Amino acid sequence: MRRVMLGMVMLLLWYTPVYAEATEYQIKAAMLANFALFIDWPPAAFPTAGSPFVACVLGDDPFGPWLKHELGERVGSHRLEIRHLQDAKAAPECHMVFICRSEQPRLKQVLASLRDTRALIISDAGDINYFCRNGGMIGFVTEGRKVRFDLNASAAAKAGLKIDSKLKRVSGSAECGAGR
Amino acid sequence: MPILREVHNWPIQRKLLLITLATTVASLVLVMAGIGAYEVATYRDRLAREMTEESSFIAANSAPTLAFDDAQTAQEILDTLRGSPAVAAAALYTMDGRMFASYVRPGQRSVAPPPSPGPEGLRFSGPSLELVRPVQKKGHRLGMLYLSADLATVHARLTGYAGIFLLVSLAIGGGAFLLQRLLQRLVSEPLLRLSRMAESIAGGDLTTHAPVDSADEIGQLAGAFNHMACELAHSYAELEMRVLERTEKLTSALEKLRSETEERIHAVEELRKRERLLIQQSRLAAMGEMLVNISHQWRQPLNVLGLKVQELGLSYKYGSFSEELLDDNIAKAMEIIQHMSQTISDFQDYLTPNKEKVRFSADQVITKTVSLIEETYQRQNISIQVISTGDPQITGFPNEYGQVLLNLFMNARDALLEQRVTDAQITVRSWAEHGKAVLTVTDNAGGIKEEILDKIFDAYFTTKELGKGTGVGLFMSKNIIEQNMGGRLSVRNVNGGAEFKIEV
Repeated sequence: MRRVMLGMVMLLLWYTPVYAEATEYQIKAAMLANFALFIDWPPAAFPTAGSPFVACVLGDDPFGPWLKHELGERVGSHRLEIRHLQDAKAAPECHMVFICRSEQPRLKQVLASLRDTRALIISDAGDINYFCRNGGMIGFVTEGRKVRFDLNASAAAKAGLKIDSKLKRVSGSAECGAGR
Repeated sequence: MPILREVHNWPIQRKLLLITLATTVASLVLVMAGIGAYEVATYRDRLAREMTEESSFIAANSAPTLAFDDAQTAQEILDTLRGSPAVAAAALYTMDGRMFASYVRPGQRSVAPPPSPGPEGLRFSGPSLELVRPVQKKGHRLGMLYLSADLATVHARLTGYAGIFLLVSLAIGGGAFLLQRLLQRLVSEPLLRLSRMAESIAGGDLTTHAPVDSADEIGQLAGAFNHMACELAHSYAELEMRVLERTEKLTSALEKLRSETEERIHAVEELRKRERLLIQQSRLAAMGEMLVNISHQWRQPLNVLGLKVQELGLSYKYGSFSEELLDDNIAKAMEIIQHMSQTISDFQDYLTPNKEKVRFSADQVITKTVSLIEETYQRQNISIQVISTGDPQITGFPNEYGQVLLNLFMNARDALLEQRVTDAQITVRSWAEHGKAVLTVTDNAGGIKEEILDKIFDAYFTTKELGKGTGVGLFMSKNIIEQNMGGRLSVRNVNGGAEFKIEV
């Protein structure tokens, strides 16, 4: 319903000119929301029952309002909290970290500092395989106008995340960055 | 029911086979009918359940495809429905109502998923079912799933069951042949063997032996048959021996009996001959007695007759002959001749037995008999006294009765003469008593010795001197009174003599 309403709002406000540009990050925001549906965080990731689900955007936020729209008020039973970060070191409480393209030059260091967190690390920055090899978990791939993703299931498992096997089926590759 | 009658005449083996086949096929048909009925009765529930399960599976698997807009994978997932023939059509819709992926059962053209999912829920329309449910993950609706299913599975199942039924029927048919063979070997053959054995036993061959090769009823039967045949043979042999023994015994007994009978017949013949001789003798004796009596009776009239004839001669010589005298003498002579002639007729009567029973007076017979012998007895100094009361009547043979009376007189006279009794007397009494004529002949010759009293009526028993008595008289008298006239002849001693008593 939310998406239908949103579609109607979009039709009214940003009819043709903004549609294409807006759609990519709208789609990616929706996908981030959907990742939360198919991935389970370990109980230890939430110190208390009232702990919020912290979604972090590292770098220059490309989503605009879409991320909040797509993720909604709650993720599962947890209140949503979106944090905009410029430094990866501030990320230990994040459950989900989206690394923006602005971070591409420092990507390796960023990933290294995120290594010991329980965050699901997602990015659309540069070479996906490079990203995955360095601990990235979900990388967006854009094929024409279609947005797809690759999974680094082993990295996610190492972080204690449980990925629904059905998610692997719709991913481009479930073992992104492996063997290269 | 001619069919039943026909079946009744079938061999057991075929009957057993029929029973087996009928039972199997009947149970098979029942099971099949039950399964069919169950299928038809429960297919809606089962279809609904199956479709719900199927839709859950499809919804769970297709959730990420809707979430991440992967129509190709969604199509792949829907295509797995080929394994569920009940599903006629299926479709996935995005949240904005767009058809995302669709599936139609191969070979199916008339059915197509609707362009939009329609309201949620499970609906039956006729034999087909439509199911619309959301595709969701963690409470988030990601799209809608549409499924439609029909009776195809039931049809398929029923077809499958029909196939199974056909196969099982064929197997039963084949098995029946094997079973028939087996039954023939297990049941019919031993039974037939027993039947043949029974036939040969019935034919008289008791040495037949049935093989006992099983412990079942037939085996037991065969055992019992053997036992029976053995017993039969045994009893038969024993019986034959006994019959032989018995026949031998009977033959010898018969032989013995035959010779005994011959001996007896011979003896009886001898006896009869003697009896005839004795009767003849006694009759001759009686006739002799009669002659004596006649001669005594005739002596006086002959004298008178002589006197009358002489008187005619003398009167003529002395001139006193007259016609009156002649007439008188002729009349007298004729009277005397008449009397003598009567005497002969009377004696003759005694010797002629009566042919028919008649009613007669006892006193008349007594008078006649006494008149025959009175003269002779008087000459021997024996007086006869007749005391008669009431003239008793008898139905019987008067001549025989007279003979008996004569016999009793003769016995009394013999006894009186033998004992030399001085005042010899024979008393005859007659009276009626209880409708019977009773007659007693009593003498005073001292009676009969007690030890022979019960023997005197026996044949050939006599106390008289040799050549005088035959021993037949009293025997014949008893016979006449008791056998011929149904009366009684008895004897007892009274004071100073014997008393014979005739009751008729």
